[in-house]
Amino acid sequence: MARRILLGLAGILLVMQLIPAHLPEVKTANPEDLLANNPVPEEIAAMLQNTCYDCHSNETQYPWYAYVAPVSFLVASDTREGREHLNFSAWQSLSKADKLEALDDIGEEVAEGEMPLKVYPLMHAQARLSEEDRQALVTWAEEFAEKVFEE
Amino acid sequence: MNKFTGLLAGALLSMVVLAGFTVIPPTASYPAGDELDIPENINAIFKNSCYGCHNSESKNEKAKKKMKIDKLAGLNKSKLVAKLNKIVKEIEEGEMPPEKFAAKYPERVPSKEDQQALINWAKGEVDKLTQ
Repeated sequence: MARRILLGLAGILLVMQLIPAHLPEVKTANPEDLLANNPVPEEIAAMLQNTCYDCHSNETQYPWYAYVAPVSFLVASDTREGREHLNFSAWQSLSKADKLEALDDIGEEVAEGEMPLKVYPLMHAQARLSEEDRQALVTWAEEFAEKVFEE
Repeated sequence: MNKFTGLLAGALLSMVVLAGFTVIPPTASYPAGDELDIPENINAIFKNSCYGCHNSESKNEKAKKKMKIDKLAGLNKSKLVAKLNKIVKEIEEGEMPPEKFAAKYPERVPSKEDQQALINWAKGEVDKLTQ
């Protein structure tokens, strides 16, 4: 009986692999990128790349399990939604008001622990932010907003 | 009925009538400030549709964190632009007022015209601040 159930589950998993997940495309050349066009302190740039860029840029680094259903469905939808809300690869193309709104959201969501999504640091050790890390990001977002406003 | 009780009754009656008109609590006023101009029609939309959750005394913690309409005018310019831009997005995308609120208080959902007025106002203020 148990063997049958296991075989059944394995069968379902196998069939699931045939459903395309449509992982958003990776692009490495992004002339409008935030980090490519703005002086961002090194430790902040590293934090953005390690904790945000997988979903909020075109430079997603998909781990092997991102290609295995059903995890692939989750990764695809999180990445798609993340890029829709904010895509650092397209930063330069945003209006000043959109940039300021994004920076305001970054400060708020990082401070409140809404970002990165809880599931992300479980699998990405480098994305586990300390309180000091969060504070540094919040402070940077506020200071950068002032610069953007003066542009 | 002597003269005094007549006057008293008249005073009471007029108080009741006046109370009926003043449905807006006196706390719901927004200091406009130098940077932000909130005309009466926009103020009315805020009061009717937004202020209940988005004020600094709100019990709705999430709404309060995201937007405090009574504190807009006190923000620095870059934050003010961010919040005004957020208003435009939320209304344009139909995210606000939230579905649950709309289902419970359909009469408090701004009309299409009012939504457009709010969007135009917020965009105009953004332009003034960023030009």
